[in-house]
Amino acid sequence: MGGLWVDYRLMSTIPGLFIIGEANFSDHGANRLGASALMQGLADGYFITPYTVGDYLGSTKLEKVSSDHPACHEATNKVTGMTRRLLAAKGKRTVDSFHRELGKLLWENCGMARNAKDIEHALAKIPELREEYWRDVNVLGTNEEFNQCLERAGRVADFFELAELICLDALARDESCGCHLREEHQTPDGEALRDDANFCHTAVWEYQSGRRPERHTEPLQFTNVLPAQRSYK
Amino acid sequence: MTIYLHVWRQAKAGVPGRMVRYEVKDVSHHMSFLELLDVLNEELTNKGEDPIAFDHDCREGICGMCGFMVNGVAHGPMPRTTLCQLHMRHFKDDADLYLEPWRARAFSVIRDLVVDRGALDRIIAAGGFVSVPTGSAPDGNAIPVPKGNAERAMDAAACIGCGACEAACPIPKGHSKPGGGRKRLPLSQLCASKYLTILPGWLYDRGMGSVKPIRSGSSEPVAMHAHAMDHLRYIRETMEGAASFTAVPGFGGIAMGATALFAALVAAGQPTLDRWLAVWVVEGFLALVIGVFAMARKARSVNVSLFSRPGQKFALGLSPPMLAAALLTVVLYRQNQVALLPGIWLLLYGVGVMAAGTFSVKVVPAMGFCFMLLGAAALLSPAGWGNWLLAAGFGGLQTLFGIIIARRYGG
Repeated sequence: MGGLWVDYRLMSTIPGLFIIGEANFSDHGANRLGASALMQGLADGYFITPYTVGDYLGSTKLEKVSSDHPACHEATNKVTGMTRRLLAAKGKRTVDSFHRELGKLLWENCGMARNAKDIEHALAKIPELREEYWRDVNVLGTNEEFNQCLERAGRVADFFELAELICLDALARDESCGCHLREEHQTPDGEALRDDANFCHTAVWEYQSGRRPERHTEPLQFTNVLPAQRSYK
Repeated sequence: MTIYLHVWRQAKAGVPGRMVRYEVKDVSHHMSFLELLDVLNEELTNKGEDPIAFDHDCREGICGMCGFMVNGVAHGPMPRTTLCQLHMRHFKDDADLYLEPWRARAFSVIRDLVVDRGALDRIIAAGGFVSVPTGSAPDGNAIPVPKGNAERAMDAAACIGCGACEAACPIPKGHSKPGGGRKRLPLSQLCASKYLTILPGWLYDRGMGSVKPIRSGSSEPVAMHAHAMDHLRYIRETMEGAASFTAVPGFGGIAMGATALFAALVAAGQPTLDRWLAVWVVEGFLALVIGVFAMARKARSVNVSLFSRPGQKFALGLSPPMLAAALLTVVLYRQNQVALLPGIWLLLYGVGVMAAGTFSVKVVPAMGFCFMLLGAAALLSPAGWGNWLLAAGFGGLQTLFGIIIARRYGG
């Protein structure tokens, strides 16, 4: 599953930021499964980026950047603060145990087939678990050494945010579309029931520090090929 | 099942490490080796002990991130299987397993089983380069790649860069083994750098004409610890040495043979011995020029430097007998012993080709041997046969082997 916009050279709207493989939309649109995702990675990595990235680096004058920029300071302070907080928790549960619990919560309540009730349950549970994480996680070692435990702790901390966003998005999409099934929306014989009157758009979520992320939509217009219910019959 | 692990624990580079024994109970047969460590780490963390550091990423056997020695074998006992794909069902209950980081001096330990494989990355990077301005990609079908090169490149491209080959290499170096024999590295090992030298540079040069690399293939981007550098040079030389020096020209040999046949005819018609000698000396220089030109051309086409180590060895093997032959030519001419020259030329050329051919494809020393036989025949036969034995050698043998080399090894 990808879908980030790229130009012909696989560069995003940010100059110098190339998006390759499954993350871009180039050959398969926003949605691809299995081997086509792998193939996209191989094609981009082997045949396209060796030329386009080299071309960009060779033809662009790159200015020296200093780490004195306010954004840099802000990011550094944020990471340092988070690291200190993780190491100071000195709780009883391992990072992996939280990771497993969160994964199970998502798997059971926001899996391939999901319904509003389960998703709401997960949305209620995730903040509780996150709160427990920051209070009771046990990260061994220090910041001044090669510390895989700390690495993982930072990643799992991000996963709470991501898990919550996945649930929010699943809840907002009140139809069955793509490869997920909202159990409330299915035909009598179990096929996915689309709702193109209300969901014919692409959506992105904007991060809001400390608040719920905000959803932006952009309508999709189909003229030649119209979206239709998928049928394997 | 229960597994006893003896794991190398080392807090950081430069401090002493030691093996520590751990008992892991209730191990499932379905666990991968890395999952076994996950379980052990969870236990250790709960006890407040430092978990074992080890590298891992995709756990699908394709990323090249994981890897350490299991009972002295890189990636453990299953062939062509990375640790993440090695399952505990391949081990016996109550097994004692010894886990160590990659055994290679070029890879220093960062912590426990994690090593710094930057040296390998730099070898891989040194093999490739980027050309600017690139323009659009060349049409792949318009660039003929010899089948052999394409196959080797594909084999090498399957390298995941995990570094196991370096740790498993039997050549005594990082871990000196008493009596460890010197073996050739299979090309499939340490091949990532090889594949970068086989294809892209070749393609870029052919496909894009007069482009210049931003960074040439041989430049080292980062200053490395002298020891690692030395080590890498050794690997590179071993790889080069393992690949036979194939710049011996086939068509060049045919051209040399043709000029020699012509020279034999011209020389036979000369009224005096001095003029006969002059014809052959001119032919000698002509053959030298053809030979060097053909070797350079072939080396360029197969992307081997003429001045690489095998190239140097070839030149070192060939030139002493050639110089000796030149000196003897002068000496014997002054002694009026010109009749001995055909035998001496053939013999010494044979000696040189045989010595130089040790580092090349097998047919080259065979050619040297034939020249030596012919030289011996010339020395033992009547002087009148000399000119025609020269024709048979420098004309016939040279052409014959030129055809064989051209057909078997191309060009």
